[in-house]
Amino acid sequence: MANMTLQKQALLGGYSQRFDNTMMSERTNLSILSLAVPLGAKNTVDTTLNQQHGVSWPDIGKVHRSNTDQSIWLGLQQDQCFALFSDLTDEGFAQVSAQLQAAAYITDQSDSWVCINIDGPLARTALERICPIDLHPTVLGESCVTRTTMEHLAVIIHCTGSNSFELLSPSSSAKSFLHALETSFHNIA
Amino acid sequence: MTQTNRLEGGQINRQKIVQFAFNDQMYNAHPGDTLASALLANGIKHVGSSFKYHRPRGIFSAGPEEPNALVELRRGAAQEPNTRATVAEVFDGMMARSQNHKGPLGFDLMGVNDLLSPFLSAGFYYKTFMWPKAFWEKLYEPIIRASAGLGSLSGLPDPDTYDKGFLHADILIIGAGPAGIAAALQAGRSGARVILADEDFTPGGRLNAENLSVDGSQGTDWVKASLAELSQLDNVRIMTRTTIYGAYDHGIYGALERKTDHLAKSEGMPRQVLWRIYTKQAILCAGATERSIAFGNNDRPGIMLAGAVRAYVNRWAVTPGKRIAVFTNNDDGWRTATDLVAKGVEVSAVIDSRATKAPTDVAGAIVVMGATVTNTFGRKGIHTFSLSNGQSIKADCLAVSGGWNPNVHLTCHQRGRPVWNETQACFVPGGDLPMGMLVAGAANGELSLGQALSAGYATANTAMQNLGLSAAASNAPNADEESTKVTAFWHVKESAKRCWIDLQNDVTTKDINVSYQDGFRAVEHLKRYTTLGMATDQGKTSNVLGLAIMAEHSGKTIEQTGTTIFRPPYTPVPIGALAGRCRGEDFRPVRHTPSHGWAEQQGAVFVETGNWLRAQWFPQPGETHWRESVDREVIQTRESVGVCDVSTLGKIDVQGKDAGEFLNRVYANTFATLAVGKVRYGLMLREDGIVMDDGTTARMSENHYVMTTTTANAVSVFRHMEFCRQCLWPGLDVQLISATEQWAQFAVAGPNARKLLQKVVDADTDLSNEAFPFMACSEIKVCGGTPGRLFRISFSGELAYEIAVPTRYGNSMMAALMEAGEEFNAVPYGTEALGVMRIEKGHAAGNELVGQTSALNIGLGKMVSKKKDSIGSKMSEREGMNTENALNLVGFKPVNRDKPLLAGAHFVSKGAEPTMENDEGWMTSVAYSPSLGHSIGLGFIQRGADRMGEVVHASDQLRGGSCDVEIVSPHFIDPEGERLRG
Amino acid sequence: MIINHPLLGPRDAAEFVYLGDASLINRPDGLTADASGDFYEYLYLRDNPAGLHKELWYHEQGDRSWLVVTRNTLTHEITEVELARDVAKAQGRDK
Repeated sequence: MANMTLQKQALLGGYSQRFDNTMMSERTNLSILSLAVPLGAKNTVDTTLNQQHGVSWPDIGKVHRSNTDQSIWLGLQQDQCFALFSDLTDEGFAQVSAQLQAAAYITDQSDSWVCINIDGPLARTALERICPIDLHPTVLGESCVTRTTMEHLAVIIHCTGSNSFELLSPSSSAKSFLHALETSFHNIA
Repeated sequence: MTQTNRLEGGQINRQKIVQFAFNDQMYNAHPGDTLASALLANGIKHVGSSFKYHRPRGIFSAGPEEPNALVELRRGAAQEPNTRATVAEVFDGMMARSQNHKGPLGFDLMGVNDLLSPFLSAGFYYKTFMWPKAFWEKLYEPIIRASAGLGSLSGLPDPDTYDKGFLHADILIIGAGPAGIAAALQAGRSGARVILADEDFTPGGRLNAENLSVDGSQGTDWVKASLAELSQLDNVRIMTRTTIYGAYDHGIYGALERKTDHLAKSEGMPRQVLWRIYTKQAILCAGATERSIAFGNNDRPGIMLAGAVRAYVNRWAVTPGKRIAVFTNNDDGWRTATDLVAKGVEVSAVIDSRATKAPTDVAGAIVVMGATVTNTFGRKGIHTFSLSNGQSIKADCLAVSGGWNPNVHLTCHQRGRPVWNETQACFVPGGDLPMGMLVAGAANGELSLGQALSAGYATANTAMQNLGLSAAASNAPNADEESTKVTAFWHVKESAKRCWIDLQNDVTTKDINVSYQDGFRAVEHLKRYTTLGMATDQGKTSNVLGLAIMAEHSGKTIEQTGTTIFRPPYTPVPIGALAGRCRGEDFRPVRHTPSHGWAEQQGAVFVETGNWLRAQWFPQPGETHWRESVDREVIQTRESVGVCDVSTLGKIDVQGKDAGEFLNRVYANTFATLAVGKVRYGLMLREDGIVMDDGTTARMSENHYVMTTTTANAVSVFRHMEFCRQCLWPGLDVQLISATEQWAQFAVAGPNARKLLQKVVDADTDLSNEAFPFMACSEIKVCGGTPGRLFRISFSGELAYEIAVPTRYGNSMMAALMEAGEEFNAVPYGTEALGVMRIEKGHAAGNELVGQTSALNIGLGKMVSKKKDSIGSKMSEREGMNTENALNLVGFKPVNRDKPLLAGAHFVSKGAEPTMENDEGWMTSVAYSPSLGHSIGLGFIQRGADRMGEVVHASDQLRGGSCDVEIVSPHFIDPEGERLRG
Repeated sequence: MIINHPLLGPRDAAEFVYLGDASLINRPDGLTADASGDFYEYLYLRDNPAGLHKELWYHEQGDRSWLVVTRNTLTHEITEVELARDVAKAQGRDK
């Protein structure tokens, strides 16, 4: 039916809020691909990543940033990583996926996660209310990433700066995740 | 109003007055006061009524070990019983009430219990309230219930919020007294990540209570300076009002931080925070608690611990009496006398049980060495006491010191046992400490200030060494060693009157005698038989006394007698703090389906399915009962078309060269033959042959499959599959990732399903039966280029598809489907209609896959392939699971069509007695079938497949729903599957 | 309880799900003549040591790896943590 087009919906409606000197906002322009390494093909995948995006495979816990296209690569498992792209069109995304498909097992994860950025001096103080892992800069420093659980929700936490974090949590519970974060900020005020 | 017992000095803010109420009477106090110090300052001695005998009681201690001064704090919903007045910080407007009395405190009607004391000694409840049996429920129980417990609850929901948190440290220092502060300074200066926690609102430990010097300056000044230095260090976190209440495995500690209990209003902030602290090393600097001596009538108001009297005088500038005497067995008790004299308070006498030379002079006091106190007088407040030598001495406060017990509790939380130190007459930590824990200071039996300071410093260095860090080059703080000489003395045997051991539970030496005589001699039995140490103070001032006396009875040493195990929490933790945010709507996360917004706008009624909120039915205007809505949804779907959000089902993306082989092994039925572009039902067994889950798996391309699972088992199936992949067949080239969240998925079902979808999928998609037959699948484009997937599968039994788009389009997709369906009178349908239709079709679901049923039971025995080894296939062949009498899943119709069937009814043959012996199976799922016009059911019954048409009895005596039922095929509609394949 | 993940370092046990004895890795071949007996032992016969126990934990809220944890059932001390995949391969498990 030609004249019906589907509308996108941001999970948190493009949420953005300031808490004292710290900002919390939803990032809505993200495309996410998961890459899994075929058995024994680590080198091939690594080469492909270098050729196509100018990055090497991120080891678990590490974040690699592409110099060529600003893509970000999160090392989540020994043989699985996430590639994050900003502001890709549907065509652009399809192209990137297809190219990577040649070397790795690819899955679109763009709609599976809500993405929230926290930036400011209160970031760790708020997060320590719900985050069991050590957020000290010497333990989870810039360009480190890991996955844990917060308030019964899966969360991928990526330290993006001295006082900033990018958090991914499953999309269906986005509102509960935001509520957990907002409650943390409220409770430390 | 004057505070008659105030002295000079102290750590209170005299510039400010705060007002508080005790038993509805207003009094003045100052910031820095506890409720106990404020009450004493105002000359109030009688603050409570003892548990069993309702004897008048006064403030006994100055800390968390308080057994007597338990009050109800606050009014209304925030009312809290059993608060120790000795730790409650006074604030303006505080309201407190004494507990455990009928009628006013001064005239407790329950005081009659004291006269009944001969009948209320240890174990009385094992020997009384037995006859007659008829009185148990109606008389004894209500009486006992009414008199049991201390204090009362408001009965209203807790109005406060609580929070939790996680902290990480290199070194956790438990207690900010001299040992703790010395340790923190050294560890902090060395650069370690330090947490210094203290339960008090003013750090300093006993330095706050004493008149001692550190490094040449007043103890309290040294504390202030040290805290100032520590708070400037980024690597040190100071937590006051924080009790480390438990030492758990692997260096995990539980801590309770009180945030607003000292404020008049919590202003919506969490009242308390429960912290989980992960630390590599911990130094226990928890200090020591003084213990009493048992002598006649030693429980009267005005009889207090000697160290506590010192604390009130030095820290709070309050004297508990005008004329104070001291009874001690150690040198430490003498310092109370000297400190009192220094503050200008009259000391009438010092009585020392040791027949030695007096350690010092006390101006104006009678000194009697080698004597004991045998009795006291003054029911509502002591005024006189008598000695073993016949002397009678006047005093309105008697300060007792029986020695000090190191606070070893946390060293024992993992079953470590403390050991008895004969010289110091106390238990000290044993060798079996929790991993990473060190002990320093009084908690370790290093009872003097000098020892505490050097031990704190040295232990910090040990901790640094254990961490592989280098210690700062700074010196330990210094102080004189004050004397801690003690000679063990437990009770005055000459006392004719009752001698108290456990003040809170009213346990006396007499009870210990009874326990011994009745044969309960082991410490763990002594505790339970007498209730010694079982109250909210957990026997902190009384345990050692009790077991020492039991040891004497038994002719054993204290070493041999041992002590009871300490368990967390060290002091009480509110249930609300343990719950944290998990209350009410925040009890667990909520998962919303992609079309939730649309459904909400339609006025859908929602149901919780695990964490998901799913539309249960969509009431139309005029419908007043859910059956109207659900019946309509079923009828309309089967007659035309219905749409249902099925996004909640688990979706697992399976990719790899060996993906097909992998699926062949986790499913019981054959999967190796599944072609690209086809979907197949998959039956997943547990390794023991019981059905684990079922779903469909679609082959999207050569090495790419998408598996669905039931909503409930999405997580556990994924976990199981990762186990198989990593542990069983690590050589298979296959990868998994969850895609449940990625796709919004809708069932479109009914005779007009194809026509509806034709309007939504892009023009080039051929949905004819030839091009897209039953069990086909494909990637497609919808609504002008949006990528999607289409699966022709049916749960309802109608011509049906499931269409999927990325979640972000889900809400819009639902609206688009309904708009496209308008010309067909399409209905949205919810989980109820979904359930009715699958029951009509005879599909097994959660009610049937209960963890006890096999493929054979649900009628799919032939689906388990014998040509391959798959999970569960071997064990499914076991004799016991394949007997003649095996359960079969069949359908049931009520013989009387008007009868509603009930799930949970059990089947017996007609005429047989409904007993366990005659049980032949049970009803698993029921529904009113709009298609048939009566109630139908699915259920398991022995040999069901061979009993078609037989009438059996469905017994439901519990709910009165028993009726006769006819065994029929479970496929109530379209048994040939014609609608599916059209 | 803390599990020291070989790749991620120490993590709270709350991130993990327990399965059972590590012998579950040794799944018998279902197509041999002895299969019935083998599976019976595999599923139902267990040692119950007062001491070191090798067990399977799944890092569900972490990197989704299965681990073999050697834990002392008396003292609760964890002496070794290995990737289960490595243990399985070392035991000759393959396809």
